[in-house]
Amino acid sequence: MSLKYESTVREPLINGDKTFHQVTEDIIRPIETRPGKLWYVGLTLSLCLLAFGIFSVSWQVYYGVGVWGENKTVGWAWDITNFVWWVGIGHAGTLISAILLLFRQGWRTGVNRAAEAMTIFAVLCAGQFPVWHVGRIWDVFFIFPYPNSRGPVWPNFVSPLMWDVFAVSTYLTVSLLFWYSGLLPDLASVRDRARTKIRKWAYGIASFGWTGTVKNWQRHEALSLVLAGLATPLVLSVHSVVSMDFATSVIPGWHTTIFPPYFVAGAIFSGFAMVQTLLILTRRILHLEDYITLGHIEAMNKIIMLTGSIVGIAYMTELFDAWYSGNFGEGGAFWWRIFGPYWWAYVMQITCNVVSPQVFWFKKLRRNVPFTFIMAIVVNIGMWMERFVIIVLSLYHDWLPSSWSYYTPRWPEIGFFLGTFGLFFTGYFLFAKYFPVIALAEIKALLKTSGESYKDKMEPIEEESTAQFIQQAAHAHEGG
Amino acid sequence: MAIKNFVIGCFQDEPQIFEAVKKVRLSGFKLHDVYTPYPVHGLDKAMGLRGTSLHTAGFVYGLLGTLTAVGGMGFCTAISWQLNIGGKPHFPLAAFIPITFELTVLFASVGMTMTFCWLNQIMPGVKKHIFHHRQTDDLFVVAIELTSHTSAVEVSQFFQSLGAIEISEQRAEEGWWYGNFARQEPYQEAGLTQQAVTP
Amino acid sequence: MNQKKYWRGLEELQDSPERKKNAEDEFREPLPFDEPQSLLETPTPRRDFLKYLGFSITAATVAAGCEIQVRKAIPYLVKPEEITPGVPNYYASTYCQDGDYCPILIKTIDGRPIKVEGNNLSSLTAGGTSARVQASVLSLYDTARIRYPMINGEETTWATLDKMVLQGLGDLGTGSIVILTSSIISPSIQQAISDFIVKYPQARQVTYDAVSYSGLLMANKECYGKQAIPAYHFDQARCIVGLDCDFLGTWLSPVEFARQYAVNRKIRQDNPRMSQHFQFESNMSLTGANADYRYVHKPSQSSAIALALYNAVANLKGKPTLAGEPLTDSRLTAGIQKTAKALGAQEGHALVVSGSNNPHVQVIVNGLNEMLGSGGRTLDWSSPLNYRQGIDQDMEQVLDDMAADRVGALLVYQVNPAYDYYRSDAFRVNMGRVKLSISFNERQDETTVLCKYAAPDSHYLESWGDSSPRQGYFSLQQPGIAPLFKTRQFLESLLVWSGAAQTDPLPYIQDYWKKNIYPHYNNIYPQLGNADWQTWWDQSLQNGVVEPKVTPAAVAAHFSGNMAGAAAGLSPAAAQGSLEIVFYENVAMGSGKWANNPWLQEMPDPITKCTWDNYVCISPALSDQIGATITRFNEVYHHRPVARLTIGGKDILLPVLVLPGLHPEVMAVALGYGRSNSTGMVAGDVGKNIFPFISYNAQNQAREYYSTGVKIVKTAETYPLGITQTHNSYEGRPIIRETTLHDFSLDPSALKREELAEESRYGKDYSADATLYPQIYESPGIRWGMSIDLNSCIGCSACTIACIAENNVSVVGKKEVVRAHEMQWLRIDRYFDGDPENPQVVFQPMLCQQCSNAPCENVCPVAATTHSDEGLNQMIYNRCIGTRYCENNCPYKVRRFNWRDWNGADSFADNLYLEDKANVMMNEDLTRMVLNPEVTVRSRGVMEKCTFCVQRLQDAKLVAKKAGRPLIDGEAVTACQQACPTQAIAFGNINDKASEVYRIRTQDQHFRSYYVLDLLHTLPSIDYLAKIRNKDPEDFFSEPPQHVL
Repeated sequence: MSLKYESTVREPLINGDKTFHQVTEDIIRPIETRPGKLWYVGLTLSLCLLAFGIFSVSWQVYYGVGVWGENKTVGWAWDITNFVWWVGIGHAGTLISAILLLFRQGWRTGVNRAAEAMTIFAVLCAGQFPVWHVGRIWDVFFIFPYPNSRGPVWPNFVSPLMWDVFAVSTYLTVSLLFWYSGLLPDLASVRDRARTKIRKWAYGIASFGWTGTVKNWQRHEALSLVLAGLATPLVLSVHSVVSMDFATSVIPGWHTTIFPPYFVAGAIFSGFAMVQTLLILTRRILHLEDYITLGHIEAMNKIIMLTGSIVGIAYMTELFDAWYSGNFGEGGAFWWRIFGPYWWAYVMQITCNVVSPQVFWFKKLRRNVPFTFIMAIVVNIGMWMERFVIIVLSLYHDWLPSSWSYYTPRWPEIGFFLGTFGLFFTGYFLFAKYFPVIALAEIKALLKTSGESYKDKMEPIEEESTAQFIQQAAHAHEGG
Repeated sequence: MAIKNFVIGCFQDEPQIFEAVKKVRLSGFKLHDVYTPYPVHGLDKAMGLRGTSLHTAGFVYGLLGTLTAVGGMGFCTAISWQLNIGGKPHFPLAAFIPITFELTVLFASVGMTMTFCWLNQIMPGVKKHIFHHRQTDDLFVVAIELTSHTSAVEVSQFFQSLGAIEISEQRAEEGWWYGNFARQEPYQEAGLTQQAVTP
Repeated sequence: MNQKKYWRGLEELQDSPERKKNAEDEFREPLPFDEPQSLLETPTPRRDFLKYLGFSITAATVAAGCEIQVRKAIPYLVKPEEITPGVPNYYASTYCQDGDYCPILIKTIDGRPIKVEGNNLSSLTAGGTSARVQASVLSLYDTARIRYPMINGEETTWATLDKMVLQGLGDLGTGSIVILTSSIISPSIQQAISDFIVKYPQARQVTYDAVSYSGLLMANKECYGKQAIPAYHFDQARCIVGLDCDFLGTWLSPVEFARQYAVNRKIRQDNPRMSQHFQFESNMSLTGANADYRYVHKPSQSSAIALALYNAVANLKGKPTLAGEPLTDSRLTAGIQKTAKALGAQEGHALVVSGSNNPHVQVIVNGLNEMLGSGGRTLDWSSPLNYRQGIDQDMEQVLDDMAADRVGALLVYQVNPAYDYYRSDAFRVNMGRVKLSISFNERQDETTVLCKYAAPDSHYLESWGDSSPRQGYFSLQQPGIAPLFKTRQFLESLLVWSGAAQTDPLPYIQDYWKKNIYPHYNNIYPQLGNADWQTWWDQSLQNGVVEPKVTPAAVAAHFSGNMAGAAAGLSPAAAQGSLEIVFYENVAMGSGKWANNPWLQEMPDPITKCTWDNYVCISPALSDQIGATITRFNEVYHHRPVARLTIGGKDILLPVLVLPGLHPEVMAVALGYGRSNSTGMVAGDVGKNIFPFISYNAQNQAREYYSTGVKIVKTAETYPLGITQTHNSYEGRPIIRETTLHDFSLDPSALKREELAEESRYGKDYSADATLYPQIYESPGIRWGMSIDLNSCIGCSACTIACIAENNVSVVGKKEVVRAHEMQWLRIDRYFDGDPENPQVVFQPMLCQQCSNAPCENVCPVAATTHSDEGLNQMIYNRCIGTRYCENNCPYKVRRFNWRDWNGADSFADNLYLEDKANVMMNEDLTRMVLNPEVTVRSRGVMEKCTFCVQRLQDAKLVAKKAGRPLIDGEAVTACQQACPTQAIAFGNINDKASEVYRIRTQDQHFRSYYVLDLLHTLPSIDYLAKIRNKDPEDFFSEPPQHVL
């Protein structure tokens, strides 16, 4: 059982004087009231983007991948860049819920729900690219190992693309379970305070008939703990597997053993940047400043700075290896990456990912919301450039100079990318309207220890002598 | 499953509920269950419930996943139809690791979640009796089942003594059934819900 | 007697006349059978039947290959005896177009020629071909061919045409008849022309070559008294000097010369010897690219260079030198000295050839060869070459006559002066003055549209014929298919008009051969002895070529050249600093005859690697001056600046292509582009026509292919060039291995030492020990392997076209080439290294390496590309879903993705890619008849690549199997190997210890043999033989590896 004491030195995770009921009110209000104009504007915009994306993809499916800018040398470009980018973004959620849960980071509760939702939508977007980038979408079912009359012919389990299929789908499933199992009690709360019949009925179904008995809670705790334990290696594995698409190849700039950790760090980096972007908007639009506090934002900025630096070290290592290996292909690839016609892409990558996060050494900037918001965008751009650099800038000048080439995107692949933004935000807006964006039950569990108003109650305890305190603690234990 | 009579006491704070649970167990009333808006650590022990074995189930599922992956891939590449792909052997174990890992995790988590729902008897469309609409909001609800030799009044008084802020007697279906939360159940009309007086 | 009458149906009872008629002939429509009389008048003659048949079978093949609904094939009603559906027949024949000559085999499947291959029996070409020969099969199905005789562009019948023509010829009066032909090497056509002239005494034949060899012919007339071209023996020459002479690419008979040239360029590592090749030239030619020493000069200096070389040699030999303008350029003089020394050292084994059209230069060159004792050795007058016969002055004369109304009738055969004569405008005007003008050309080209009558000649694959490329050497031409259209052979037309009794070409030719050739050659077939005519003829027809039993010994001719006079007549060099431009033929287009052939248009030029255009090549130095510099930043962009050129007062806009190896003051533009739209869908508006800029030197009576005092200004606009290779250097990477003859002969193993040292670190067997996975896949039977000799590969690109023809490789059109979507399975990488002013060039044919540890196979998620136990990297098209991962992971970048629906083999309706005229043309029903039914036509969205022509390998294996014996080395031949004029490609079963490939790798050439990028442990099945340059080590440039950070 948790100790009912937390030092006043720690800053509160929930601001203002809140009771349990107040918390419920605050968090469920958006679901019960009509959303503001901003919400409608946002949703419409997202739907338009989504529609354009669908148009672009249909165009490409009908006329062939040739409508994209890819060519004989650069066989992958925006498609896989976007895939890796979205998957990377999809990492923060599970990371926050799983790893921070294992580390008993109280502050995660404020943000994990939204982050997990974001994860799910991001992974959904990511999934679109490997599916639609193929030449013959109507035959894409060939990748599934189903018994067939062709021999039977099985897929090639040695192919990293095959690993991707399993990794990404597993990741999506597990994140979904994790997210929804956490939602059950909160949906129950929505149900029980619902006034309209329709809402009672809908949330009744959605909450699976959760009542919150002690036994339920016991199992719930166990489940989330184990899921967290599983999701932690999973979240690390997913981007490792994605990185193996490149690491296991023979292309200079791709064939690199440091890719797995390098990619994971990058994923967390971009993931947190995206969480920042979304939460800064959410807390503002849904008036949840008390629950998503400056403390949260600062904590995430710290992580951004850390992972940004890790990524920076990875870049340096790459360059060092390119030189130290003495391999003409490797050296050439990086020489052309920096000094070739695509130099600007590399410059953007370095400035956005390595240089800019260093400003977070300053507490003032870490706690500056607008600045953080801008930084989050910058970091996301930088991470997109990183993937672009890795994919296109490795291919365009590879082993045989005779095939060296260049790549410029065309509207259908740009449209595809915008379309996934549409998908992502449509999902997120609907989530923000119909689901509690903050983990209600978990916040309540924290309220009495980390809530601002309750911090004051700690003062008498602070004055107590150790003996008294122990006696009290022991007394509290008699329950067990 | 049957419709029974209960008396519930609603408490406002965590320490009270520990107290209450302890007292109920001593007093010999038939404790039906306790409902809390969030996981209260230690309450299960206080109620003397045994720990869950969900973890073990998870492990078994995981193992199943591992075997499925290795077995399945091995069958396809080494037994069913051998191909020379890039000069690699027909059973390249190293190349199987990623998928094996993924399937292990997948099986474990999906299996566990299903078991969780099964044990808790929860799934879409399931309905259970809600003793108090604020039990998922801010009240800690203790439900005591009335037996032949316990009367509603004494239980109410008992709760009163513990400092329950709200006490009531209810007829309730103790199990689960498919139903619509938006509708009143017939037994609820039949049994009148009376508010015990608090002096 | 029962008189009862039974009637079926009322109409029988009434017995209407129609019913009677119907009852008589059971088929309402006349059957598409061959009626002996009036073939062409029948509504659907046999040729149409064959055509439908051919098409429908292609269609069926296409359908069968891909996921579109199967269209029905029409089976034979009466199966021709020699045709088995699906089994190819080969007919020996001859490719012969305006003097270009190549003995070939026509591969026909189901009565449809689908491929042209070289004829190994010819001692001249030994089975070699050129890109144009390979592509000629597509021109058979050219949609722009004239399909019937025409009068003023209106369709007519041959009968009417003949009537009109004969009438016209009848009432010409005084007007002369001019038969304007390209160089004709067919004895029987020559005979027919003389017959015609006998009938019409006022007729005369004028030979006109689009690109003139007049200077050479006149010089030889002066020096040797013969207006002819001697046979050259490059195979006898140990020192070859070329002066502006592209004898490997375009000059006279490249296929033949390339074969000879390769003889002394191939190297034996046990006793390394090779010829030394010096080249002086203005533009970078294929020949120059292969030279050991190459010197660049301005075209106006060519006279001075010939003279300087003559004098230098004369000095060495103590012969009198000639007075004349001295050479100022120090670099050149040094080169001259070096060359002279080398020539002098090889007296009797030297050969100097010049491509100049200036008779005086040619006289000097002849004198030079005399001094070096080439006559009777490398220069052979025993049996001169007939390839070119045109004298420029004659054509001038014709124009004057036309202007003066002295020409009553003009018969145009295989020539197109309205396009390719430098005074085409004048020609066009004067055509109006000619009463009777007849064109025999196969298309509505610039000249034909001006002619009153079009009497279209049949395609050579539809025709009977013969040719004599060289005195005493003959070859026969037999059709591979009946004429597709109502066309008629030139020969037949002539016979008809000269009122011959027998107008069928075949009997006429037989008759001619019986009289003139059979008597002298009746004993050439040992197995036949003194054969009787019929057996001899059949044998000859089967062989395709008829050659002297014993090769005539080379003889010299009496030399009587007036050297001093020639020296005096040399044209002076233009002033320093003034820009000059040279007009050249490129390997694909030549004089533009092939402009409507998409295969050739899309063939990357061996030197510039550019397709679908002509452009002005300028040196890097000049590009800096005009502000069109190519840097590593902009080389990747296909949009190149456009420049305005002012040549002889006339302006022309051309895209700029920066080409190392050009003289800083020289520009070069290719001839043969800018055809009129009427010549064909594709030919129209591709590039610009340069012929009008050619000048005529009255003093030399010869056309000049360069111009001085040229101005070039870069304009603001840009133009996309379909360049397939934008980076020129191989960055010193070990993908190319080269050394000098000197170093190689000192220690052949030096080439391999580093590699062996590296590999030894992994244990005994590198291929097995240097990998995580042991090599577990044995090839019990056959294991295919290929070996490519970089020394004998001259980069002519015949293999590229052969591969396209054999494997149904799609044409994508310029727009897509610009986007780097070209589909060619076999490309030839061309690298420059060394001095950008005058670099070393190396050609490397690059095709799927069939790696044993193929990176592409590992990454395919659906196992669409796997390895066969014969070591082939197979591509399973209908399993492929098109992730393009294999393409990315191929270190050689030889995989090609079907970005769009190039050829209608797609699951979607009407999304066929038709943005380019080329795509439209290639998808015409007629054009699709060229598709090889043995190879799937790939659908959109799948990956494809070279498979070592697996269908040919299967055929060969089946033949061996039927014969119940193991495969014999050399039996399985890939298309590229077959096409190669220099036999640079060896292919075979490396499990067979006797096979050529095995011997090359393990014994004969194992020091030169290396694998590209073997550091990746891909274990390729193709090895390359290091390039050896016959250069002094100090002149040899070996590039240090670059860009290792």
